[in-house]
Amino acid sequence: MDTRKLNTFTSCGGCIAKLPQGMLKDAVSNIPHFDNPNLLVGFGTSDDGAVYKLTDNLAMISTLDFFPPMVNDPYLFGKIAATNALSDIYAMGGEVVSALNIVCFPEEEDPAVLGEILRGGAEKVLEAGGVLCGGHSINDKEPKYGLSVTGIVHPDKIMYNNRCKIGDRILLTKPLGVGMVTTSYKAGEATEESYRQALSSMQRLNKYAFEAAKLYRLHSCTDVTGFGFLGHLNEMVAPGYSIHVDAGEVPYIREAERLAAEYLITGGGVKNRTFLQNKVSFQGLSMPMEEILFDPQTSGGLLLSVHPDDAGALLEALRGQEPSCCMVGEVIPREESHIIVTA
Amino acid sequence: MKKKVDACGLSCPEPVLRLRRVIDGADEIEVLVDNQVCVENCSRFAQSKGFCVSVKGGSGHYTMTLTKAVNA
Repeated sequence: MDTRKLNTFTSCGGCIAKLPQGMLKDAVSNIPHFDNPNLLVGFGTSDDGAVYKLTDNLAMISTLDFFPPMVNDPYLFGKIAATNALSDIYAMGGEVVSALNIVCFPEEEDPAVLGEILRGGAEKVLEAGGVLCGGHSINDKEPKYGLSVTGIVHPDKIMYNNRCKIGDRILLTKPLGVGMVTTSYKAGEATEESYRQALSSMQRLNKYAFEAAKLYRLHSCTDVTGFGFLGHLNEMVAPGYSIHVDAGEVPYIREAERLAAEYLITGGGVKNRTFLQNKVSFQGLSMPMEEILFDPQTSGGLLLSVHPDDAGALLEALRGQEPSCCMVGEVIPREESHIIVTA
Repeated sequence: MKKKVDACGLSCPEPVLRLRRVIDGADEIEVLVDNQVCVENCSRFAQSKGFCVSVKGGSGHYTMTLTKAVNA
Protein backbone atom coordinates (compact mmCIF):
# COMPACT_ATOMS: atom_id res chain seq x y z
CA MET A 1 0.00 0.00 0.00
CA ASP A 2 1.18 3.49 -0.80
CA THR A 3 1.72 5.15 2.60
CA ARG A 4 1.93 8.64 1.15
CA LYS A 5 -1.61 8.19 -0.09
CA LEU A 6 -2.74 6.88 3.30
CA ASN A 7 -1.58 10.10 4.91
CA THR A 8 -3.78 12.13 2.62
CA PHE A 9 -6.79 10.29 4.05
CA THR A 10 -6.20 11.65 7.53
CA SER A 11 -5.05 15.17 6.82
CA CYS A 12 -8.19 16.42 8.59
CA GLY A 13 -8.18 16.25 12.35
CA GLY A 14 -10.74 15.10 14.87
CA CYS A 15 -13.88 13.25 13.89
CA ILE A 16 -13.63 14.84 10.45
CA ALA A 17 -11.11 12.08 9.73
CA LYS A 18 -13.85 9.44 9.93
CA LEU A 19 -14.37 7.24 6.88
CA PRO A 20 -17.61 7.96 5.02
CA GLN A 21 -20.70 6.20 6.35
CA GLY A 22 -21.60 4.49 3.08
CA MET A 23 -18.10 3.04 2.69
CA LEU A 24 -18.20 1.57 6.21
CA LYS A 25 -21.56 -0.09 5.61
CA ASP A 26 -20.14 -1.80 2.50
CA ALA A 27 -16.92 -2.80 4.23
CA VAL A 28 -18.60 -4.60 7.14
CA SER A 29 -21.27 -6.23 4.98
CA ASN A 30 -19.12 -9.30 4.22
CA ILE A 31 -17.61 -10.07 7.60
CA PRO A 32 -18.90 -13.15 9.45
CA HIS A 33 -22.06 -12.66 11.48
CA PHE A 34 -21.57 -13.01 15.23
CA ASP A 35 -24.66 -14.58 16.69
CA ASN A 36 -24.43 -14.47 20.45
CA PRO A 37 -27.48 -14.02 22.66
CA ASN A 38 -25.42 -11.96 25.12
CA LEU A 39 -24.45 -9.40 22.49
CA LEU A 40 -27.20 -6.86 23.11
CA VAL A 41 -25.84 -4.14 20.81
CA GLY A 42 -23.46 -4.88 17.95
CA PHE A 43 -22.82 -3.80 14.35
CA GLY A 44 -26.49 -4.09 13.40
CA THR A 45 -27.87 -0.71 14.42
CA SER A 46 -24.86 1.63 14.08
CA ASP A 47 -25.12 2.37 17.78
CA ASP A 48 -22.50 4.25 19.80
CA GLY A 49 -20.86 1.31 21.56
CA ALA A 50 -21.12 -2.46 21.76
CA VAL A 51 -22.99 -3.91 24.73
CA TYR A 52 -22.45 -7.43 26.03
CA LYS A 53 -24.58 -8.92 28.80
CA LEU A 54 -22.48 -10.43 31.59
CA THR A 55 -25.29 -11.25 34.03
CA ASP A 56 -29.01 -10.44 34.19
CA ASN A 57 -28.12 -7.27 36.11
CA LEU A 58 -24.92 -6.20 34.41
CA ALA A 59 -23.80 -5.48 30.87
CA MET A 60 -20.43 -4.27 29.62
CA ILE A 61 -20.13 -1.41 27.12
CA SER A 62 -17.06 -1.44 24.85
CA THR A 63 -16.10 1.47 22.65
CA LEU A 64 -13.00 3.08 21.21
CA ASP A 65 -12.28 6.27 19.40
CA PHE A 66 -9.09 7.95 18.25
CA PHE A 67 -8.11 10.56 15.67
CA PRO A 68 -5.42 12.98 14.46
CA PRO A 69 -5.15 16.38 16.19
CA MET A 70 -7.55 19.18 15.32
CA VAL A 71 -5.82 21.62 17.67
CA ASN A 72 -2.15 22.54 18.10
CA ASP A 73 -1.99 22.38 21.89
CA PRO A 74 -1.15 18.74 22.80
CA TYR A 75 -2.71 18.98 26.27
CA LEU A 76 -6.01 20.24 24.83
CA PHE A 77 -5.86 17.61 22.10
CA GLY A 78 -5.52 14.92 24.77
CA LYS A 79 -8.49 16.29 26.69
CA ILE A 80 -10.69 16.56 23.60
CA ALA A 81 -9.82 13.11 22.23
CA ALA A 82 -10.53 11.52 25.62
CA THR A 83 -13.78 13.47 26.10
CA ASN A 84 -14.88 12.29 22.67
CA ALA A 85 -14.02 8.64 23.36
CA LEU A 86 -15.70 8.63 26.79
CA SER A 87 -18.86 10.13 25.30
CA ASP A 88 -20.00 6.83 23.73
CA ILE A 89 -20.40 5.29 27.20
CA TYR A 90 -22.84 8.06 28.18
CA ALA A 91 -24.62 7.79 24.85
CA MET A 92 -25.27 4.11 25.68
CA GLY A 93 -26.64 5.01 29.10
CA GLY A 94 -23.70 3.71 31.09
CA GLU A 95 -20.93 4.77 33.40
CA VAL A 96 -17.20 4.68 32.74
CA VAL A 97 -15.18 1.93 34.44
CA SER A 98 -11.76 1.82 32.78
CA ALA A 99 -9.85 3.14 29.79
CA LEU A 100 -6.75 2.26 27.76
CA ASN A 101 -4.70 4.76 25.75
CA ILE A 102 -4.43 4.40 21.96
CA VAL A 103 -1.34 6.26 20.78
CA CYS A 104 0.25 6.86 17.38
CA PHE A 105 3.23 9.20 17.57
CA PRO A 106 6.41 9.91 15.56
CA GLU A 107 9.39 8.55 17.51
CA GLU A 108 11.61 11.46 16.37
CA GLU A 109 9.24 14.00 17.96
CA ASP A 110 9.65 15.57 21.40
CA PRO A 111 8.39 13.09 24.04
CA ALA A 112 7.18 16.04 26.11
CA VAL A 113 4.48 16.65 23.49
CA LEU A 114 3.26 13.08 23.90
CA GLY A 115 3.41 13.56 27.67
CA GLU A 116 1.05 16.53 27.39
CA ILE A 117 -1.42 14.59 25.22
CA LEU A 118 -1.47 11.74 27.73
CA ARG A 119 -1.84 14.11 30.70
CA GLY A 120 -4.87 15.77 29.11
CA GLY A 121 -6.43 12.40 28.35
CA ALA A 122 -5.80 10.98 31.83
CA GLU A 123 -7.35 14.03 33.50
CA LYS A 124 -10.57 13.45 31.58
CA VAL A 125 -10.69 9.74 32.52
CA LEU A 126 -10.28 10.83 36.14
CA GLU A 127 -13.09 13.38 35.79
CA ALA A 128 -15.28 10.65 34.26
CA GLY A 129 -14.73 8.54 37.38
CA GLY A 130 -12.86 5.81 35.51
CA VAL A 131 -9.38 4.35 35.84
CA LEU A 132 -6.75 4.58 33.14
CA CYS A 133 -4.98 1.24 33.20
CA GLY A 134 -2.68 0.93 30.18
CA GLY A 135 -2.57 1.34 26.46
CA HIS A 136 -0.71 0.68 23.23
CA SER A 137 1.56 2.93 21.17
CA ILE A 138 2.71 2.83 17.56
CA ASN A 139 5.39 4.85 15.76
CA ASP A 140 3.48 6.88 13.17
CA LYS A 141 4.36 10.02 11.20
CA GLU A 142 0.97 11.51 11.96
CA PRO A 143 0.07 11.65 15.67
CA LYS A 144 -3.24 10.15 16.71
CA TYR A 145 -4.71 9.69 20.14
CA GLY A 146 -7.79 8.26 21.77
CA LEU A 147 -9.10 5.74 24.24
CA SER A 148 -10.56 2.30 24.35
CA VAL A 149 -13.19 2.56 27.07
CA THR A 150 -15.10 -0.01 29.07
CA GLY A 151 -18.31 0.95 30.81
CA ILE A 152 -21.16 -0.76 32.60
CA VAL A 153 -24.92 -0.47 32.40
CA HIS A 154 -27.92 -2.41 33.69
CA PRO A 155 -29.27 -4.38 30.69
CA ASP A 156 -32.72 -2.79 31.16
CA LYS A 157 -31.24 0.74 31.11
CA ILE A 158 -29.30 0.58 27.85
CA MET A 159 -29.91 3.72 25.80
CA TYR A 160 -30.41 2.39 22.29
CA ASN A 161 -30.07 5.06 19.63
CA ASN A 162 -33.29 4.14 17.78
CA ARG A 163 -36.03 3.68 20.38
CA CYS A 164 -37.68 7.08 20.07
CA LYS A 165 -41.45 7.26 20.61
CA ILE A 166 -43.80 9.35 18.50
CA GLY A 167 -44.34 12.67 20.24
CA ASP A 168 -40.89 12.69 21.90
CA ARG A 169 -38.99 15.95 21.82
CA ILE A 170 -35.37 15.93 20.62
CA LEU A 171 -32.84 17.94 22.60
CA LEU A 172 -29.31 18.79 21.43
CA THR A 173 -26.89 19.67 24.22
CA LYS A 174 -23.94 21.34 22.43
CA PRO A 175 -23.68 23.90 19.61
CA LEU A 176 -22.81 22.73 16.06
CA GLY A 177 -20.18 24.20 13.75
CA VAL A 178 -17.14 22.84 15.58
CA GLY A 179 -15.77 21.12 12.45
CA MET A 180 -15.95 24.24 10.29
CA VAL A 181 -14.61 26.50 13.00
CA THR A 182 -11.57 24.34 13.87
CA THR A 183 -10.55 23.73 10.24
CA SER A 184 -11.14 27.36 9.27
CA TYR A 185 -9.20 28.57 12.29
CA LYS A 186 -6.25 26.44 11.15
CA ALA A 187 -6.44 28.29 7.82
CA GLY A 188 -6.61 31.67 9.58
CA GLU A 189 -10.27 32.21 8.61
CA ALA A 190 -12.12 31.84 11.92
CA THR A 191 -11.88 34.21 14.87
CA GLU A 192 -10.19 33.47 18.18
CA GLU A 193 -13.56 33.86 19.89
CA SER A 194 -15.26 31.15 17.80
CA TYR A 195 -12.28 28.88 18.23
CA ARG A 196 -12.45 29.29 22.01
CA GLN A 197 -16.14 28.41 21.95
CA ALA A 198 -15.36 25.26 19.97
CA LEU A 199 -12.52 24.28 22.34
CA SER A 200 -14.67 24.79 25.39
CA SER A 201 -17.50 22.71 23.93
CA MET A 202 -15.24 19.83 22.82
CA GLN A 203 -13.73 19.51 26.30
CA ARG A 204 -17.02 19.18 28.17
CA LEU A 205 -17.83 15.61 29.16
CA ASN A 206 -21.31 14.45 28.20
CA LYS A 207 -21.41 12.81 31.63
CA TYR A 208 -23.20 15.74 33.27
CA ALA A 209 -25.80 16.09 30.55
CA PHE A 210 -26.55 12.38 30.66
CA GLU A 211 -26.76 12.31 34.46
CA ALA A 212 -29.36 15.09 34.28
CA ALA A 213 -31.25 13.42 31.42
CA LYS A 214 -31.53 9.96 32.99
CA LEU A 215 -33.79 11.36 35.72
CA TYR A 216 -36.47 11.93 33.06
CA ARG A 217 -38.42 9.67 30.69
CA LEU A 218 -35.56 9.39 28.22
CA HIS A 219 -36.30 6.92 25.42
CA SER A 220 -33.26 7.17 23.18
CA CYS A 221 -29.89 8.85 23.10
CA THR A 222 -26.82 9.19 20.90
CA ASP A 223 -23.92 11.62 20.57
CA VAL A 224 -23.05 13.87 17.64
CA THR A 225 -19.62 13.23 16.15
CA GLY A 226 -18.19 12.78 12.66
CA PHE A 227 -21.41 12.11 10.77
CA GLY A 228 -22.77 15.45 11.92
CA PHE A 229 -26.11 16.40 13.46
CA LEU A 230 -28.15 14.93 10.60
CA GLY A 231 -26.01 11.79 10.28
CA HIS A 232 -26.45 10.86 13.92
CA LEU A 233 -30.09 11.95 13.99
CA ASN A 234 -30.65 9.67 10.99
CA GLU A 235 -29.32 6.76 13.05
CA MET A 236 -32.05 7.49 15.60
CA VAL A 237 -34.78 7.02 12.98
CA ALA A 238 -36.52 3.61 12.91
CA PRO A 239 -39.12 2.34 10.37
CA GLY A 240 -42.10 3.48 12.48
CA TYR A 241 -41.33 7.18 12.68
CA SER A 242 -39.57 10.20 11.20
CA ILE A 243 -38.03 13.18 12.97
CA HIS A 244 -38.98 16.78 12.34
CA VAL A 245 -36.27 19.38 12.98
CA ASP A 246 -36.89 23.07 13.51
CA ALA A 247 -33.63 24.50 12.14
CA GLY A 248 -34.34 27.83 13.82
CA GLU A 249 -33.89 26.15 17.21
CA VAL A 250 -30.61 24.38 16.44
CA PRO A 251 -27.70 25.86 18.42
CA TYR A 252 -24.46 26.61 16.57
CA ILE A 253 -21.36 28.74 16.90
CA ARG A 254 -22.45 32.00 15.25
CA GLU A 255 -19.49 32.41 12.95
CA ALA A 256 -20.14 28.98 11.39
CA GLU A 257 -22.92 30.60 9.37
CA ARG A 258 -20.48 33.01 7.71
CA LEU A 259 -17.87 30.27 7.16
CA ALA A 260 -20.47 28.03 5.50
CA ALA A 261 -21.66 30.91 3.29
CA GLU A 262 -18.07 31.20 2.06
CA TYR A 263 -17.92 27.45 1.39
CA LEU A 264 -15.33 26.91 4.10
CA ILE A 265 -16.83 23.52 4.82
CA THR A 266 -14.95 20.34 5.55
CA GLY A 267 -14.49 17.29 3.37
CA GLY A 268 -16.34 15.34 6.05
CA GLY A 269 -19.31 17.67 5.70
CA VAL A 270 -19.44 17.06 1.94
CA LYS A 271 -19.32 13.28 2.54
CA ASN A 272 -22.12 13.54 5.09
CA ARG A 273 -24.28 15.45 2.60
CA THR A 274 -23.66 12.84 -0.10
CA PHE A 275 -24.64 9.98 2.22
CA LEU A 276 -27.76 11.67 3.60
CA GLN A 277 -29.24 13.60 0.70
CA ASN A 278 -31.99 11.05 -0.06
CA LYS A 279 -32.94 10.67 3.59
CA VAL A 280 -33.43 14.31 4.52
CA SER A 281 -36.04 16.75 3.21
CA PHE A 282 -35.12 20.43 3.55
CA GLN A 283 -37.92 22.97 3.52
CA GLY A 284 -36.80 26.55 3.03
CA LEU A 285 -33.35 26.35 4.64
CA SER A 286 -30.51 28.69 3.71
CA MET A 287 -27.41 27.04 2.25
CA PRO A 288 -25.23 27.89 5.30
CA MET A 289 -27.75 26.35 7.70
CA GLU A 290 -27.85 23.12 5.68
CA GLU A 291 -24.05 22.95 5.85
CA ILE A 292 -24.07 23.49 9.62
CA LEU A 293 -26.42 20.52 10.00
CA PHE A 294 -24.00 18.35 7.95
CA ASP A 295 -20.86 19.64 9.70
CA PRO A 296 -18.84 16.85 11.35
CA GLN A 297 -18.43 17.39 15.07
CA THR A 298 -15.57 16.34 17.31
CA SER A 299 -16.76 15.53 20.82
CA GLY A 300 -20.22 16.90 20.04
CA GLY A 301 -23.24 16.95 22.31
CA LEU A 302 -25.92 14.41 23.07
CA LEU A 303 -29.13 14.00 21.10
CA LEU A 304 -31.82 13.10 23.63
CA SER A 305 -35.27 11.78 22.75
CA VAL A 306 -37.46 12.51 25.75
CA HIS A 307 -41.16 12.25 26.63
CA PRO A 308 -42.89 15.49 25.56
CA ASP A 309 -44.15 16.20 29.10
CA ASP A 310 -40.61 16.01 30.46
CA ALA A 311 -38.84 17.96 27.72
CA GLY A 312 -39.29 21.43 29.20
CA ALA A 313 -38.07 20.39 32.66
CA LEU A 314 -35.11 18.51 31.20
CA LEU A 315 -34.16 21.49 29.06
CA GLU A 316 -34.24 23.67 32.17
CA ALA A 317 -32.10 21.18 34.09
CA LEU A 318 -29.55 20.87 31.26
CA ARG A 319 -29.07 24.60 30.75
CA GLY A 320 -26.94 24.73 33.91
CA GLN A 321 -24.39 22.31 32.40
CA GLU A 322 -24.84 23.06 28.73
CA PRO A 323 -25.97 26.66 28.19
CA SER A 324 -26.48 26.12 24.42
CA CYS A 325 -28.84 23.17 24.91
CA CYS A 326 -32.02 23.50 22.84
CA MET A 327 -35.16 21.59 21.94
CA VAL A 328 -34.57 21.09 18.23
CA GLY A 329 -37.16 18.61 17.03
CA GLU A 330 -39.99 16.17 17.48
CA VAL A 331 -40.59 12.51 16.66
CA ILE A 332 -43.51 12.28 14.22
CA PRO A 333 -45.44 9.51 12.47
CA ARG A 334 -43.51 8.07 9.55
CA GLU A 335 -43.18 10.23 6.45
CA GLU A 336 -41.34 9.51 3.24
CA SER A 337 -38.09 11.13 4.43
CA HIS A 338 -36.30 9.98 7.57
CA ILE A 339 -35.82 13.59 8.60
CA ILE A 340 -37.79 16.72 7.69
CA VAL A 341 -36.03 20.00 8.38
CA THR A 342 -38.00 23.26 8.30
CA ALA A 343 -36.54 26.73 8.52
CA MET B 1 -7.53 36.31 -17.80
CA LYS B 2 -6.76 32.61 -17.41
CA LYS B 3 -5.49 31.42 -14.04
CA LYS B 4 -4.40 28.11 -12.57
CA VAL B 5 -4.75 26.60 -9.07
CA ASP B 6 -3.01 23.37 -8.11
CA ALA B 7 -4.78 22.10 -5.01
CA CYS B 8 -3.61 18.47 -5.21
CA GLY B 9 -2.75 17.03 -1.82
CA LEU B 10 -4.94 19.56 -0.02
CA SER B 11 -8.12 18.81 1.86
CA CYS B 12 -11.24 20.96 2.23
CA PRO B 13 -11.58 23.81 2.85
CA GLU B 14 -8.01 24.61 1.67
CA PRO B 15 -8.71 24.21 -2.10
CA VAL B 16 -11.64 26.64 -1.81
CA LEU B 17 -9.39 29.12 -0.02
CA ARG B 18 -6.77 28.88 -2.82
CA LEU B 19 -9.50 29.34 -5.41
CA ARG B 20 -10.94 32.30 -3.56
CA ARG B 21 -7.60 34.10 -3.77
CA VAL B 22 -7.69 34.14 -7.57
CA ILE B 23 -11.37 34.09 -8.47
CA ASP B 24 -12.07 37.83 -8.45
CA GLY B 25 -11.44 39.29 -11.89
CA ALA B 26 -10.70 35.93 -13.52
CA ASP B 27 -12.51 34.76 -16.68
CA GLU B 28 -11.20 31.24 -16.76
CA ILE B 29 -9.55 29.16 -14.03
CA GLU B 30 -8.08 25.69 -14.23
CA VAL B 31 -8.18 23.88 -10.88
CA LEU B 32 -6.34 20.64 -10.21
CA VAL B 33 -7.60 18.56 -7.28
CA ASP B 34 -7.14 14.92 -6.31
CA ASN B 35 -10.47 13.91 -4.80
CA GLN B 36 -14.17 14.01 -5.56
CA VAL B 37 -15.04 15.85 -2.34
CA CYS B 38 -12.90 18.84 -3.37
CA VAL B 39 -14.40 18.74 -6.87
CA GLU B 40 -17.84 19.09 -5.33
CA ASN B 41 -16.88 21.81 -2.89
CA CYS B 42 -14.96 23.89 -5.45
CA SER B 43 -17.76 23.46 -8.01
CA ARG B 44 -20.40 24.80 -5.65
CA PHE B 45 -18.18 27.70 -4.63
CA ALA B 46 -17.38 28.59 -8.26
CA GLN B 47 -21.05 28.37 -9.27
CA SER B 48 -21.95 30.72 -6.42
CA LYS B 49 -19.46 33.19 -7.95
CA GLY B 50 -21.09 32.91 -11.41
CA PHE B 51 -18.78 30.38 -13.06
CA CYS B 52 -19.68 27.41 -15.23
CA VAL B 53 -17.84 24.25 -14.23
CA SER B 54 -16.61 21.33 -16.30
CA VAL B 55 -14.62 18.43 -14.83
CA LYS B 56 -12.31 15.94 -16.55
CA GLY B 57 -10.40 12.99 -15.13
CA GLY B 58 -11.07 10.70 -12.20
CA SER B 59 -9.52 8.47 -9.53
CA GLY B 60 -7.07 10.88 -7.97
CA HIS B 61 -6.60 13.40 -10.83
CA TYR B 62 -9.30 15.88 -11.64
CA THR B 63 -8.97 18.93 -13.87
CA MET B 64 -11.73 21.45 -13.35
CA THR B 65 -12.27 24.22 -15.86
CA LEU B 66 -14.18 27.20 -14.48
CA THR B 67 -15.49 29.69 -17.00
CA LYS B 68 -17.11 32.98 -16.07
CA ALA B 69 -20.71 32.89 -17.27
CA VAL B 70 -21.54 35.73 -19.66
CA ASN B 71 -24.38 37.83 -18.34
CA ALA B 72 -27.19 38.26 -20.84
